[in-house]
Amino acid sequence: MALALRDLAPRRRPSTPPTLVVVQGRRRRITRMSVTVVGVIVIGLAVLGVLHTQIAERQWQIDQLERSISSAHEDFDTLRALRAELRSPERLNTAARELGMRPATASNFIPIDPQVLATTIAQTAMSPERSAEPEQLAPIDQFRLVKVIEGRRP
Amino acid sequence: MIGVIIGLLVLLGIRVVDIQTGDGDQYRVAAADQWTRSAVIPADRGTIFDRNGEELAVSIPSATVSINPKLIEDPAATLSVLTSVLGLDVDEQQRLFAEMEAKDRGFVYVRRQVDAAVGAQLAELRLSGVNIDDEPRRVLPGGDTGRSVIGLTDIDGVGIAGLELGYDQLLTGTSGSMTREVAPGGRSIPGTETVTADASPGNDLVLTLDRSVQFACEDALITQVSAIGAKAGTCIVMEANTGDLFAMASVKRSTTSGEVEITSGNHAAVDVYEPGSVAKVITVAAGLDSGVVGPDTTFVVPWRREYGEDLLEDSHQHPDEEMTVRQILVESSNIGTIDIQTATGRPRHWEYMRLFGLGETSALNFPGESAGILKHWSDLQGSEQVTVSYGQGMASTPVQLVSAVNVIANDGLYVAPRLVRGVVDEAGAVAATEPSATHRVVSPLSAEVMRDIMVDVVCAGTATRAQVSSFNVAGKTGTGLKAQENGTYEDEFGQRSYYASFVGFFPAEDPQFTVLISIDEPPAGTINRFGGTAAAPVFARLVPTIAHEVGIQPPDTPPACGVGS
Repeated sequence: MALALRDLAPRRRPSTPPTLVVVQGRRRRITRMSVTVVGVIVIGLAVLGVLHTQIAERQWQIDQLERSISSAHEDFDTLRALRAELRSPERLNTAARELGMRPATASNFIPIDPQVLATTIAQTAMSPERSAEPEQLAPIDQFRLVKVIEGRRP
Repeated sequence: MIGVIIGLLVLLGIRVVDIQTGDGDQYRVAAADQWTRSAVIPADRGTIFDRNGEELAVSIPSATVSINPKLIEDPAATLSVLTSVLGLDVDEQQRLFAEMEAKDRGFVYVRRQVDAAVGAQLAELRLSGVNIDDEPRRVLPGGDTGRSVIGLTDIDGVGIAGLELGYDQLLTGTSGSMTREVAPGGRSIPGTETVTADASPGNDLVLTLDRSVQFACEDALITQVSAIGAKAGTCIVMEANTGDLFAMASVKRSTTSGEVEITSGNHAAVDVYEPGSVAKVITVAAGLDSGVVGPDTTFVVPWRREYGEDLLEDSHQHPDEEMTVRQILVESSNIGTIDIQTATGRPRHWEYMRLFGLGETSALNFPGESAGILKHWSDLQGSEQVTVSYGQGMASTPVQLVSAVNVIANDGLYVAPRLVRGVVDEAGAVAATEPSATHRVVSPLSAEVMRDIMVDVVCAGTATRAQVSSFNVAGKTGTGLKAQENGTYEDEFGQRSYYASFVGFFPAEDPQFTVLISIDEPPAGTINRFGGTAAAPVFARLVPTIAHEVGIQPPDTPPACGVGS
């Protein structure tokens, strides 16, 4: 009887709508949002870190490059001083004397037979005006070229 | 308890905020001072090139080694390493050890401007308290060639003589600055250098000198001064129409070793001498140009004549003879030259001497350059009034003298001597200097007549030893007496000292170069005391070299005299 009464009694509708579901969905959203924000921050920080690393790496490379330029410039200066020394008349004179050479006691200009000159030019295909040596930049032009390039450096 | 902790944390927080905001900058600067050091980046000094672009003076990288005694942990070991790498002598070792022990100074030089490789070797050792800094070193790669003109810098790279001094401002760059972090031992941390201001290099000079011609001059002078036992010598090679000096050499016998060496000073621009008979070129040219005499005008010339209280003489005894103006110059007659000066008039003669560039510094503006001595004609006393006509009683520098004679080579036009051809600026562009100033001195016709007479001087006069194969040469010798300390031309032992010179140009028909050779104090009492014997042979030796170096072809017609004529 009691069971029957219980069955017959009108069912009490829940006083509040299924707010639990709503609450659960919001929390999940918040959680998702939080995770997303944290994720974005973490990714952002990671990207920032990578960028910083790359900037630092590039700076390091620039520094290395500048050091290389500076070192190359020093080498250039040292080498051109050495070249100037090797080409100097004083050294050539000393070296020639060491080889047993002596300055000429007399010198004379000898006219060349035009026939001989013409034959030589024809046989060697060489213009007397042109040097047999390959053309190369004079020391000062090499120096100026380096200076021009350095002047363009930022 | 919790309240106390919170209180302390609050106080700590306030202090932190205070440090970060109020005194933050001050502390940051103090902290940076502890781990960073600033340093000057020395600017590269400009290079000095010869006219063909060969380096005459250049700055090369080198290292300077210094110590901070306060940071040296083991003085004995540090000194041992420094000694083995740098080869310090006993005195240096003792000085450094005392400094290391005293520890009262923070900076002491060990050695400056050592080889860069040695500096790098020391830097690798990372010794505590030992600093290695870059410091460029100035070198002359051609050895002593051109040293007299180039001059020198002090160890700090500041010009102190010659062109290094004269163009110091232009050659000196602007120093930069950098910071670097240092470890607690005072060592620099590699890779922490930050350039705060870039160094700007100095400009570069391009000279008119030709290194090969300069060397040839110096070599020929050293050979001659050594051979005849003279005191010193000078050589100047000037391009006739531009005034460019291809060589300007000075050599002198060392008072200590007795060896003849290239001088550090430029005697060719600084020292003054009474030029002697070379000055007759000016007197004769003045007479010809003013129209008072022609080359064949004659004078009766005795071998000596009295002027005031002095008896003036020719170099050799001869009977009174009728001499043409040409003969007077060819035979270098003092009395005849006085007659030409008298005919010209002393005021006008003086004006010509000024026009020839005497009595004022040349356009070279070389440091320490002399203006010579040329009194106004109205200030000359006694026999000086006439001896100036043959180069006694006035004085000139060798560069003044070569420029004066070059007037004849350059068709009567004075061209100022020039040593700097151009400047290479920061961007590598060459800015040529202004051409030398010129002014008319004598007419082209007068110059041509003078050239003709001066060829005779070489062919048949006092300068036969200046003859050169293949080229016609014109010139004039001079044997000046040197004034002694007692104000006369004889010392306390009655001895005379001479200044022997020759100034000539070639090819005489189209002069390209004027060359001065002077020999200071050739041995008195020997045949080598004259300009024709001491100086002229050096000229003859140099001409083929100059012609070869510069590429002057001999004329098609054979020379009027000399080898090969």
